[in-house]
Amino acid sequence: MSFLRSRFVQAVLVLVIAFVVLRFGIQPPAPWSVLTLYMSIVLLAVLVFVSSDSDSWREFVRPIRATLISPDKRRARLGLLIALPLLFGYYAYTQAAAKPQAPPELRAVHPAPPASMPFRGKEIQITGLDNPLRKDQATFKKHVAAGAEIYIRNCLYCHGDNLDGKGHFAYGFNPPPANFQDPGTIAMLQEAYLFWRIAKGGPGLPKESTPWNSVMPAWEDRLTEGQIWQVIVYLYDATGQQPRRWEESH
Amino acid sequence: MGGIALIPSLTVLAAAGLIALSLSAAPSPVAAQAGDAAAGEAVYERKCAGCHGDKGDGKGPAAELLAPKPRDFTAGLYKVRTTANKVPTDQDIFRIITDGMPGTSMPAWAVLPEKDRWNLVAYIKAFAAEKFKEGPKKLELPKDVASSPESIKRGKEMFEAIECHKCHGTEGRADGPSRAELKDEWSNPIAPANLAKPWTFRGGAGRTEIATRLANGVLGTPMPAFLDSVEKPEDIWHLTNFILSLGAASPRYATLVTVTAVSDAIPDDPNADYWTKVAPGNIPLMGQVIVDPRNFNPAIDLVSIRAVYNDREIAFHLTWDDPTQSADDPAKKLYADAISLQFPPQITSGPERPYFLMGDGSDAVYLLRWENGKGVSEATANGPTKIAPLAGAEATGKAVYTNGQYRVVIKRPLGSKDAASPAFSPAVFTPVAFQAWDGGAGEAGTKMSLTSWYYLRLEEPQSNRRFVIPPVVAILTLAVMLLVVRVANR
Repeated sequence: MSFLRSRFVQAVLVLVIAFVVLRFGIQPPAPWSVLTLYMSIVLLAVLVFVSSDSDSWREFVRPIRATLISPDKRRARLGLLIALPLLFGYYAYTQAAAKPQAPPELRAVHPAPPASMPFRGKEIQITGLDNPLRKDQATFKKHVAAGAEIYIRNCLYCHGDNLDGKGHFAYGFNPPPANFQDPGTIAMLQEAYLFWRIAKGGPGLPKESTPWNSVMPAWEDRLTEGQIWQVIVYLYDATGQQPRRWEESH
Repeated sequence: MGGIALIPSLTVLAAAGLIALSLSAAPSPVAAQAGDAAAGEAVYERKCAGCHGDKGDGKGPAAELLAPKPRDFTAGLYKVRTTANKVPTDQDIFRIITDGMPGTSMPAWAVLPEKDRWNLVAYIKAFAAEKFKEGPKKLELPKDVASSPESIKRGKEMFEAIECHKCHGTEGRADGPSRAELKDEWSNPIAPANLAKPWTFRGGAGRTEIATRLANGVLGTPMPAFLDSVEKPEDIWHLTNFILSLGAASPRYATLVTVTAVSDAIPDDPNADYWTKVAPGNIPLMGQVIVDPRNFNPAIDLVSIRAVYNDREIAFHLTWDDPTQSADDPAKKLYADAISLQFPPQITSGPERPYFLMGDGSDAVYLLRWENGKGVSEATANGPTKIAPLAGAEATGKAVYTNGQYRVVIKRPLGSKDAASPAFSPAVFTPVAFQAWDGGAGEAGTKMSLTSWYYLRLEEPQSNRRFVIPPVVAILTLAVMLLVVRVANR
């Protein structure tokens, strides 16, 4: 394993290992642009390392120089002179012949809610608002059951039986329906936020959230204030998530 | 809050991929476990009762929305069995719970712990315990016959001989003459399977699964067992091979509609050979459930689009399955079959566009429509109920209907003189959306199937860029390398 002591082999090994880890170790896979950025940082670090003192640098450059000059490395030199231009040419071809992809949609997933909103002719204060159904423990179960029924009659086809955003219509729409089992959705939002999103739906989103793309209906046309709170308690009960609470004001 | 996220439309592709995966994976035999019915009840109440009902009678609160209806377990009739009698094995029930039933509202419950699913099997069986007194009897399938042109031909003959086409239609698109009379065990209307869409097969689209369905039928539906009606037992496999030859294994949904550049004239005839050479994009359609009447069970679930343009006009070739050709007849609750393509009236580079559901009061959309009986038209819409025909419309088109399938060509000029109608230009990502109506299924007005916004792109006229750039890059690389070698040798 003497070749492992060569600075050049070490540098190449570090680069290969870093690439394998970054490419296959991250789930879901990072986009190529991010990967390229990470690999440039690793390359920079490797160059800093091999050039830390002049001995190390000389040792690193030796095999490269040898390949370029040494008469007994003629074959390797010739091979490189053929292989590298072909490789670069092939890469250029894949880039030039690539079919265009649909551009990604950039949108704010959880835009800031308004402080208050109109709801069926009255004004509802959102900031600081709590779910009124949580006050009375005696009737809570009844509300969860009522919420379950509202959910399966209205929300099921997009958000799914298992509340994971995989309903009948889920794969046909972009943006896809919210996955309530995901800790990045209702678990990080206040119940008043859900009330706003359910009541106003896609058309009530601000522009940075692309309201023209969302198929979420504005449920204020169909559900009463009480029914919306019921379906909200069902969402948390069925997923086992806890709503985020308002910060205590001092 | 306020995080920016990338929502790649690749999710659609990924979903299609998953469907394809689940289709290709053969069901691995699972060792049966004894379930605990009492423990199963708790899971059932939480996960199943919403559709199948507390009493297992298929009358949960969601039942009225769903088509097909949720199964009534008290009847003890199971659609998908691997047995020769009416009794399914525990593994059969377990598999359906785990994998779900494609094309229905039954999702795959693989998310539940395996123990829970076995407990559910025990609990579900208890709704009709007397039906399980007789044990399951193993079904012996004849020896598999690999697919070949001869086998498919024999399968087609059998398909007609045992009258499969009476319900499933000549080319399997669920358009047979008996389709309207079909009722299930509970007298609900039931549609025959569209055999050209194997990804919607309730019991799976594997070879053995299809052969088993043919051999022992689908209980509770009009689909009989055919093992004894075919001429020779192995005809079951010829039929299977024929059925699998009717359509692609998976829909492979598109995320971008590419409009190919052509220099010649574009034919009007939707059946012209020309169109078979243009690559299609499959777009999934979903129910419109925002405005009343809501359409939870849309009749048209897929439209296949081919598009080309030349220096004067752009043409769209649309293909979709519809079991009945129907024109307006409101007295019979029949309406004209229709399809429309939707574009913003002006193509801008910004992200903003009109509301996907045919625009709204402030932003209109442009519609390119075809309607059975009326032909092609152009319109402006400010919402699904506010559609106004466009004056001076220039779009033309032609439609054909054969064996449960529409093919329509819609053409219009590339440019536009009207501010309400878009001008198409190459290499621009143009928003597009689709709507479709099966008038024979009572769809009209806001009762439709639709998509949200997709992108359409007119491909640049074929350039030789991809043949010029790579050699230049290669030669430049070689030159730089030679230079380096020279400098090093000096």
